[in-house]
Amino acid sequence: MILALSLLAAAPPAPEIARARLAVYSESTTIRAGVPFDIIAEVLPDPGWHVYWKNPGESGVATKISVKAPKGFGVDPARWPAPHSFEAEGIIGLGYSEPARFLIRITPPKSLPKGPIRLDVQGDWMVCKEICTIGGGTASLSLRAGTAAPTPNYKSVFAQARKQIPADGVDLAASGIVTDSGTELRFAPPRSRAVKAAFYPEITGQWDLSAATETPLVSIGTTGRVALPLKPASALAKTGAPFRGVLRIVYDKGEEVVYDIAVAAPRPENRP
Amino acid sequence: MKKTLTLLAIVAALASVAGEKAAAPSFTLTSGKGKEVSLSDYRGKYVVMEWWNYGCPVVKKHYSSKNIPQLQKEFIKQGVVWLSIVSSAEGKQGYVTTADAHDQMKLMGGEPTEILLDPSGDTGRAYSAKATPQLVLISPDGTMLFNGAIDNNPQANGAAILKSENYLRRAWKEVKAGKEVSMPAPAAYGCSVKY
Repeated sequence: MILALSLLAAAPPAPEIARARLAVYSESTTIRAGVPFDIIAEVLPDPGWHVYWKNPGESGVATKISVKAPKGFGVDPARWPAPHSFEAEGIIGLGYSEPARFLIRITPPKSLPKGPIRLDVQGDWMVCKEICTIGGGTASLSLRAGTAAPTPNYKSVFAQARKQIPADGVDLAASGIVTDSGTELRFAPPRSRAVKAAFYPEITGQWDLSAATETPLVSIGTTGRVALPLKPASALAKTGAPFRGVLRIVYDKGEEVVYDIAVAAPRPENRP
Repeated sequence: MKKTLTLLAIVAALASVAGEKAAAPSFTLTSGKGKEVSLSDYRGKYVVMEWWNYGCPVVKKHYSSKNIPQLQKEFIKQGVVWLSIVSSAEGKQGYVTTADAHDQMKLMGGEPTEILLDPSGDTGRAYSAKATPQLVLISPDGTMLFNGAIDNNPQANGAAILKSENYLRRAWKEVKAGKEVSMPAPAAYGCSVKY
């Protein structure tokens, strides 16, 4: 046993293999003083692997993105793309197995420095398949100051990224309603022919993540409103509190639109 | 066995909803030293259960930083029983047997009271163990007081531990002061349990 222990202790640590990569894109290579522009930090897991959303679900660790910019530049918080859910042995995670594109708005100062303007992006993540590994990466952008209008760059990448960023400010009139059979998330889809939806709660512990799997919607009479059932996460869950999250609505031709929603504390049916 | 444990978990959950005490599901498991260990063996003592997977990078973070080894020492010194539970199935990451459980733990610098082997995952599921690490605190009368995350800093970076609030210590402090545990079930983070 002593020999076995010695061998184990002497073995060099297995090298960590990167299972995800970081890339960064700027919408324009020329920037103007005081005119905001967007960049994307893209975390790309290897096929079959996934990284995690801000609420990683029942296990996992949230991905972290940070940007270092020259003095005077404003850097908004990274906007998270909507996640998907995945399940292994009954444990539900929230995150990305496809490229996760974080949108970040950069605001240059009123006066730009001379020479190249460098933005350094750092990503830290836990990436999992059957096993998990902790990883990270850095990527940089070198931009130039210019008075000409910004040149659109990576147009399709940005278009795809924006489709996955939940729309805020869209009023879905979302509410939590307590019925005889449980709590429902009710809302009015902004467009007709909504057929399925998934809800990704911003925190774990209030609602069970079964709602994060796309579920057929139930119409509520002719009101135009639909319902998605919610289950308490556990017996200890405080389900009477307000909650937030991302709603993915699937329309009849397969188009998916994602929305940020904030919902007041659930109330009994027929009570305003 | 699996059905019985599931039923116990549901009963515990329902009791909690009703504002009553939630009974910790009973179990009998083989220890890393090859003996049978039951929760009932520790009646009259506080018990901590820690879901452990030696290959999980988040577990490694808490061991290489000495965070969990320090917690184990601190609690055991106060008379608390510390059980490290391995619910990894055979062939999955973290799986150990009586032949290597203590060697792996020693390599990580941990010194729990016992390592308990749960390759069927029945006990893990009965306790709703989702992640490693996940911690449970049980009172001397078998009531589950806490079940959740080790701390409030769910990051992959070990340096984060220094800025973290340890939820088990917080719960323990409240219990010792005769108070209700204010955060009995913070969502655990880390690797999924490899059932």
